[in-house]
Amino acid sequence: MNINIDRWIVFTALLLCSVAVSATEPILPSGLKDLSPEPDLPAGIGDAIDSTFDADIPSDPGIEIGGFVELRSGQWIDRHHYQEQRPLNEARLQLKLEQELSIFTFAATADFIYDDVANERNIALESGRGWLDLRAANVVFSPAPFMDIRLGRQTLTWGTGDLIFINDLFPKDWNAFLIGRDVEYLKAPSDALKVSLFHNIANLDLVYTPRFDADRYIDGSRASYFSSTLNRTAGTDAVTKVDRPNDWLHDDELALRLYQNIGAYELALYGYDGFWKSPGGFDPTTGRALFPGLAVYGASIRGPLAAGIANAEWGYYDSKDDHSGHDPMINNSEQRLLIGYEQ
Amino acid sequence: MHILNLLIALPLLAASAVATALPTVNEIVNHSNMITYYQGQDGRAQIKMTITDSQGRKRQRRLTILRIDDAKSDAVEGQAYLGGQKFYVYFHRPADVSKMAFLVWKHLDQDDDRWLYLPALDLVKRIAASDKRTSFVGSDFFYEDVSGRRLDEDTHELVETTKSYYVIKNTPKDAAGVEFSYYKMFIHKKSFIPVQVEYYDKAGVKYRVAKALGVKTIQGYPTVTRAAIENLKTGSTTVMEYSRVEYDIGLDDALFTERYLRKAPRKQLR
Repeated sequence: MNINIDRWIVFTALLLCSVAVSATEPILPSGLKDLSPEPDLPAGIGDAIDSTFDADIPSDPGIEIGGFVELRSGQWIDRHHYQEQRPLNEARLQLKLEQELSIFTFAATADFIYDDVANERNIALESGRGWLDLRAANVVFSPAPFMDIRLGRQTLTWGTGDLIFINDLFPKDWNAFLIGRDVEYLKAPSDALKVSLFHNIANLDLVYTPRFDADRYIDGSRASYFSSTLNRTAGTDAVTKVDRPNDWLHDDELALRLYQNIGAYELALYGYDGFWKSPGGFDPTTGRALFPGLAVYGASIRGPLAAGIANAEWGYYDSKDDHSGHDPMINNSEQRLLIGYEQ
Repeated sequence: MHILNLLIALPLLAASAVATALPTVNEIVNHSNMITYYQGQDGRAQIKMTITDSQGRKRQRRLTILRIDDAKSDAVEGQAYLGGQKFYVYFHRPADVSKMAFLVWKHLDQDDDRWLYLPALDLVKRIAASDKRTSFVGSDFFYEDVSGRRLDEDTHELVETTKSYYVIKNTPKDAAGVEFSYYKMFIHKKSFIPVQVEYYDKAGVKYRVAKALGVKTIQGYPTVTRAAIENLKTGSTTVMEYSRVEYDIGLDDALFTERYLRKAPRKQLR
């Protein structure tokens, strides 16, 4: 009992002390001096009634439709030989549709184009020429908890270089990129089967393309290029003619990626078996450009370094039709290395 | 004699009230941090984001946020609630950001890991930690406002106690790493909701204000359902309205991986 009383006395003394201290409290520093008036309490706090807040988000009908319309025009301000003075002049309507039906999700994206430069009316779905460019038409489902499948026309990207590609051998549209379309058009769609397997040890992506999907490469019709046969810049006067590997299931491509995160670092191994994606050879007897066989093996790492993100990616390009590098008409094998840092 | 009694009695009465009502700065900021970012084991909200520029032009975005906590407790005592967290943000509208997804792995002992998925390119982009105080999808919110700022990055000071608020001054330990010199939080005493946060620049000028505009108790958790951030320098304001807020829905940790950046978990995003 005595002890308790003592405690109370000590406590009271402390309180009196603290009162005394706060009375001689220093004036607030300049940054804090003009204290704005106390903010109002928001609705729902304290005694106020709960605010009605439900934003008008519509319920998900299982089907999503979206799209946009755009006009794009580009003009060279200096003189360009063998090339359209106005390389880009087009109207585009993109419609996107996504629908879920039981375990399947269907997605389609179609671009309807009026292209004043190409002036082509016929549709070529593979090259994206004509008034329709089908960007996506695929179905996604998970046949097992550890597996995702995407089948059909789809855009595919992997690797660490953002827009610099080493182990990403999926088709690019270099014309779109160089004439000034939106950056999303740098990637051309693939007609492929993608199987993704997920496991604690590592994840595996397998992409099988039953018929070779080339880049939408620079052939001179849209943008000029350096012609080694003419030894000068060429373009509309010398549009590249190609022999393209075109047989279903025979001229096919296989790409794989094995990846895992270790701590904050993303590690990946890559493999590819197919063809040079843009013309990488020339047949002097036919005068046509070729897509020689190509296999690629590579690896990448990406993760934090200091305040930024560092990445390194390496790939060995094995030019299968000219291992030894003796054929001057076919691309040699190459090593490609990318080291990046952004902050 | 009477006067003496009174002098002793008053502080005693005050003492009993103060002992229960006045938490330490540490308790206040932890409680507020828990209420703002950690309630429940996981959560989901749909957000309508309205960005209004200085000329009154409005842009809207619709997104869904999913969250999961490493710590399985909400207890503020001993910081039991505090741990790593994962956030998944999915954009529904408008068309230019539709199906974009953003993933954050928030860590206590190192910089957060952040990824952005760009669906048109099928590109998974890594975002540097140094970007954390830059605009989140063109709004006045920063990446860090969405996933929270680590308490140990600032020193906290209780500068004032008003009728409704604890006023906390937070000064960054690494002044070079941030654009503010300090920020002041008005934390509601009863609920520990930070009702107003004011950021002061290096010249000591207030330039950015975050406000909680509406609060609702959902599944027993006091929840900010309307929040705004105003940039006083640009005159731009962003309002976030939260709907379909749910806690403890049993989200799977595996949702917060690259797999679901590329293949949105539609069921959980509805």
